[in-house]
Amino acid sequence: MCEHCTVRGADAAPTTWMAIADVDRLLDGDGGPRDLRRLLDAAAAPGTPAELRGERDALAAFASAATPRGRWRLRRATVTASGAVAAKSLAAALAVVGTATGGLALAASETHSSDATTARTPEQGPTWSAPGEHAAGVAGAALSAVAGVSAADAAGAPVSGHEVAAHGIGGGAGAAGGRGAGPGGPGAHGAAQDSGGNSIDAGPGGSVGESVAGAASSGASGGAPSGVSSGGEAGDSGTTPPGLVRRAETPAGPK
Amino acid sequence: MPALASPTAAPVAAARDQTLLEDALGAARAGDEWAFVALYRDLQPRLLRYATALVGADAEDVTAETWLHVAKDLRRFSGDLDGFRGWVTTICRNRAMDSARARTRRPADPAEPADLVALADLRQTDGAVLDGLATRWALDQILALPRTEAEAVLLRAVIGLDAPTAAEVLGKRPGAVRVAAHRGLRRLAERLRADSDGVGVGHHGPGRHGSGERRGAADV
Repeated sequence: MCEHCTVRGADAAPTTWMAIADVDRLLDGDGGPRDLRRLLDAAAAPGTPAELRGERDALAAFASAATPRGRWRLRRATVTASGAVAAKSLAAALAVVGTATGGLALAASETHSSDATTARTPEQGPTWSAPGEHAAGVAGAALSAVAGVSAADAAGAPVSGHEVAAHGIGGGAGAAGGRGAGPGGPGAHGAAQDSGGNSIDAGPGGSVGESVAGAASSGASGGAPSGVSSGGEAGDSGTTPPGLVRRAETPAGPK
Repeated sequence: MPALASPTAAPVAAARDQTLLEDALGAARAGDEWAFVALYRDLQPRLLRYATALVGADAEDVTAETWLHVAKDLRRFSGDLDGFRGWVTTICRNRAMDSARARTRRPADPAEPADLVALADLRQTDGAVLDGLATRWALDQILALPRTEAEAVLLRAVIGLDAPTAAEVLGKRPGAVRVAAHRGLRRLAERLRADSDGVGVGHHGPGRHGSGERRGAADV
């Protein structure tokens, strides 16, 4: 019998068994009663293939995060559906109301704030292409419509909400040579929906999403990517990124 | 009781040298995929065991979500290897609690996560998840401890966190974690001694070390 194993009761004072320092050593992998040492070693044994079968997915996520396109995808992948869709539905509603009522000030302010918080490059635009996020895409399209307002405003376009929304998006498509341009809907809402469809479906060779992003940057930068960005934040749902503040992801357990 | 002398040989060798892993952490932050794999292989098995203690059969989903988060934000992480393990474990614990809440279909109660251990049952996990019989048995012994003690032992001895980092993960003082781990180890030692003496007070036996104790853990 090991000298450490002279336990007479689990509720006895800790000092009657092992000193705290010895326990720390044991937990750190050194010393302690033989049987207990072996039990802890078994519990911390190296992984089996079954325990590592998620390696490929984890590595793919890591590799994907290395590229700007990948980062967009990851943000979208972490979107919590309910929260993100709710947030984006609200954004879509605000955009529709803003444009339909000529609320250019509201729309413009949202556009500017979006541009200020998300630095994007033109090639990030068309990455809004993964499936299963139609509602979010529509919301992004609504923001795209808002961005169109901004672009039109910068170009000296008229300021009536209905007309401005269509004109803003139409301008982006025009810059792309008019290929696949879907704007020109009867109202702000229709324009937003069309734009959303184009943004989602347009791959790297697509017309509207990419073209708007590349040729009419002021309009596209506040479009679909904004929806992606806001969705990513919503997906984190209270978890903040790491970095200098290492405890950004704080435990939610009891103190 | 399965033999503990030789835990199941791991076909996948994990890089456990601290220096190498520190280097791997730095390289992974710079985008090196192989370094990321080294970190994954080192931590994932133990993280999965910890998650199994918290949410049982949902452990794989929880760790998958954890690594997705890590993959996204690792490049912005700054800290040493202990800090990295603590960060990852914190994410895992949060995801586990989310999972437990979703499973119970009741409003979240951050003050009472004690049900986590009550939900854990290794018998419900995929048998392939924990192939090592000795590892499974050892974890079952630890999971039979009261929740606070089991978590302290797992974080310290299985995940490999130091006491201050484990305390941060749990939101407790380091001293409280030390005491909890101490008591947990003492119970384990007593149980092992009882088994070796043929007393029959195993983790499936009667008394305070049996399933009743796990139920008690939920009442902590």
